[in-house]
Amino acid sequence: MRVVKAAKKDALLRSAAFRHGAAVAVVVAASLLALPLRGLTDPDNLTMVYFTAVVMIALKLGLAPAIVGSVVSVALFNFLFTPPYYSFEAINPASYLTFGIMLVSSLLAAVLTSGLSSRLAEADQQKTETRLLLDVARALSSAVSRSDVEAGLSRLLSPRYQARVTLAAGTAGAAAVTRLSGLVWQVPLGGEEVGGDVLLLERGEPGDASDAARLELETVAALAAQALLRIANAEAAARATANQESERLRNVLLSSLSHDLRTPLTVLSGTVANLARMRKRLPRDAMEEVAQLTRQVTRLQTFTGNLLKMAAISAGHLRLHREPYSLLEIAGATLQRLGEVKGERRLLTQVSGDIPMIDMDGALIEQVIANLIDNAIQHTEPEGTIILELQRQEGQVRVSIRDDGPGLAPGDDAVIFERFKTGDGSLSDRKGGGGHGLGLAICRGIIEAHGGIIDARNNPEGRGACFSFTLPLGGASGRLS
Amino acid sequence: MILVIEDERDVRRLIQRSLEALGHEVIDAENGKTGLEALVRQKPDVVILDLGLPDRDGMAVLAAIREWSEVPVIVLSARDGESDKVAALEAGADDYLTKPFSAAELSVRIKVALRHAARAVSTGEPVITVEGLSVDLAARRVTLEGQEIHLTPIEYKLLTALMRHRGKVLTHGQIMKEVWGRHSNDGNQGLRIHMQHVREKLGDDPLSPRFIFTEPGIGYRFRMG
Repeated sequence: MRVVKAAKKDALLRSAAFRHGAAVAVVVAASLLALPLRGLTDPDNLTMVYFTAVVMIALKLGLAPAIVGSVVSVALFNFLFTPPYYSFEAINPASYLTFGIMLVSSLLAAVLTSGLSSRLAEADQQKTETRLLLDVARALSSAVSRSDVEAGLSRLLSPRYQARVTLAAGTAGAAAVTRLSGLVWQVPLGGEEVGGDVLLLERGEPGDASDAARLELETVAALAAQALLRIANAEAAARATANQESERLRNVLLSSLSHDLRTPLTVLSGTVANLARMRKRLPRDAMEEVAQLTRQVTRLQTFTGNLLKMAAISAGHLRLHREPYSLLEIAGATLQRLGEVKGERRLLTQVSGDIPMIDMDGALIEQVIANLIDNAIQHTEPEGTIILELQRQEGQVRVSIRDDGPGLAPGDDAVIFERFKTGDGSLSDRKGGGGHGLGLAICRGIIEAHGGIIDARNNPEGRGACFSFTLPLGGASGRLS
Repeated sequence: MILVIEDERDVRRLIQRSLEALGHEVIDAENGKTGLEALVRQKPDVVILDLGLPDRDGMAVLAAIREWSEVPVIVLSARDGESDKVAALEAGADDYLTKPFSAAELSVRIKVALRHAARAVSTGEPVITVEGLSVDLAARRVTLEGQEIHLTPIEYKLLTALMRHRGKVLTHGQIMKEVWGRHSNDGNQGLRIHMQHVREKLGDDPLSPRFIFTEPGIGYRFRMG
C-alpha cells in the first residue's frame, strides 16, 4: 500500500500543471507572510523573502516552476510592496532597478539551485541503482537453480518497477529492451549459451522504459545470464559425474558377475578334464558319466560366455573397436579356435571374389562366426558337413554358414534371432543346444551395430539351414544396443 | 618350477594338479604380496598370474615383477574384452588365458614361455627355421622350402619380429614398436597392409594359415614350430 501511495505522490509531482501551480502558491504565501511587515522596513529587505521562496521552489519543484515563481515574485513585489500599493506603477524610478536586480538574482538562484538539486537526485538515483545491482549480484551468486534466479530477480526488481518479473524462453535475436504489448517489457538475457531466454516485466501501468531504466535492466540481464550459464554448467558437470558413476557401477557389476560365474566353471571344467585323463583307472560306466559331464560343462561354458556377452551388450557397455581386417583372417582365426569342437564333421570353406579389408571389431565378428558355426555343429549329425562361404558382393561382403542338418522349422527364420527378446518362457533351444537363442541374438546385435544384416533360411538346394550375414564395405559406425 | 599366483583356492589347486600331472613342479601364492616374495625366494621358471587378486590389482603385481625380473608371466583373466589382454601384454605379460581355460591350453602356453626364456639366455640364433620357412639373420635371407623369398626391408623386419617371438602373441602396438620404433595413430592400417603382403609372399592363406595367425582385437601369433 505504501508503495502505491508513494507512486501516486511521484506521479503528482511529475505533472507540470501541478508544479507550476504550486510555485505560484508558494510565492503568494510568501507575499502574505511579508504583508504585515509592509511599512515597517525598507521594501528592498522584503525581496529576500521572495528570494528564499524561489530557492525553495527550485529545490523542490525544478527549474521551470522556479522561473515562473521568479517572474510572479517580481510582479507581486511590485504590486504589493512598492508605492503606490496595489498598482504595477512605481513612484520611485529606482524601484525599476530593484525589480531588475531581483529578477536576475532570482533566476540565477533558480538555475543554480535546480542544477544542484538534480545532481543530488542523480547521485541518489545512482546510489539506489548500485545498491540494486549489488543486491542482484549477491542474490544470483548464491542461486543454484533457474527458479532461484527467477525468485531473486522477482524479489529485487518487482518493487522498483512495479512489475511481475518472470524468466521465459523468448525469441532469440531481440537485442535490447523492448515493449511487447502495452504493459510488458522484454529484456533479452543475451548470449547463445542461455538459449535466448528473456526477462519479462509485466508492469502495473503503461509506459516505455527510460534510458536509465534500460541501462539498469540490461545490466541486470547480463548478471542473470551469467548466473544461468554458471548453473547450466554446474548441472552438466553433475550429470556427467552421475553418468560416470553409473558406468563404473555397471562395470564393477559385470566384472564381478563374470568372475563369480567363470571361477567355478574353470574349476568344474578342469576337474572334469582331469577325471577324463584317468580313463584307464576308472570303470567303463564311470567314464560314460564323465563323458556326459564333459558335454554339459562345455554347454554351460558356451552359455555363460554368451550370457556375459549379452549382459555387456544390453548394459551398453560393449563398444566397437574398429580396425581394418580381412574377413579371411577373422574366419581363419575362428576355424582355428573351433578345430577341436567340430569332432568328425567336415568343415569346408569357399571364397568367391576378392575379399577386401573392412573396418570392423575383429574380436566381435570372430564371435559371430564362432556362434554361427557352433550353432551349425549343434544341429548336424556327428559326420555332417558344414560350409563356410565368403562372397564379395556389390558394396558388401557376405558370410554364409551352411549345414546339412534338419534345417529350420517353418516360421523359425523370422524369430530365431529374437528368442532371447521374445522371452517365450525358455531360453534353451528345443533341439537341445542350450543357449543358442542367446548366441544368435548376440550375433544380430553385433552385425547390426556394424551396419550389416543377418538372416536365416533353409538351403534352397538339398537340406539343412543357411545362416548368413553381410558387412558393408563402407562400414557404418555404431554402438551396440 | 612354476609359480601360480591366484586367490581362489580351488582354481589354485586345479592348476597345481593339472600341471603336476603333466610333470611340472608347482608352487603357489594366494595374493600379490606372497607371490612376489615367492618369486624372490624360489626363482620359478614361469609365473601364472591371476589379474583379479584381492590385495593388489594383478596389473600392479605384473608391473612390480617387470621392474626387476624377466621371468615369463602368463596372466589369467575372468574378463573377456580384448583391451584388458592388450594392456596386460603391453605391460610385459608373455601370454594370457581367459577363464575358463583348459589344462592343455595352459600347458602349451607354458611350453612357449619356457622356450622363450631359454632363448633369451642364449646369444641369439643365426638362423630361424619353422616348417620349411628359414630366415638367415646374418645374411638377411628368407627361404621357403629352399626357394628364396624377396621381402622389402619393412616386411623383413615384420617377419623376423614375429619369428623371434614365435608361439607368443604380439599386440599391434608391440609390433609397431619393434618394426617402426613407435606406436601408430592410424589404426594400424599400415601394419595390416604389410602383413597382408608378407602373407601373400609366404603363400600363407589367412583362412587356414600355416605361419601367421590372427588374434582378432589383439595382434598376431607366429607358428611355434
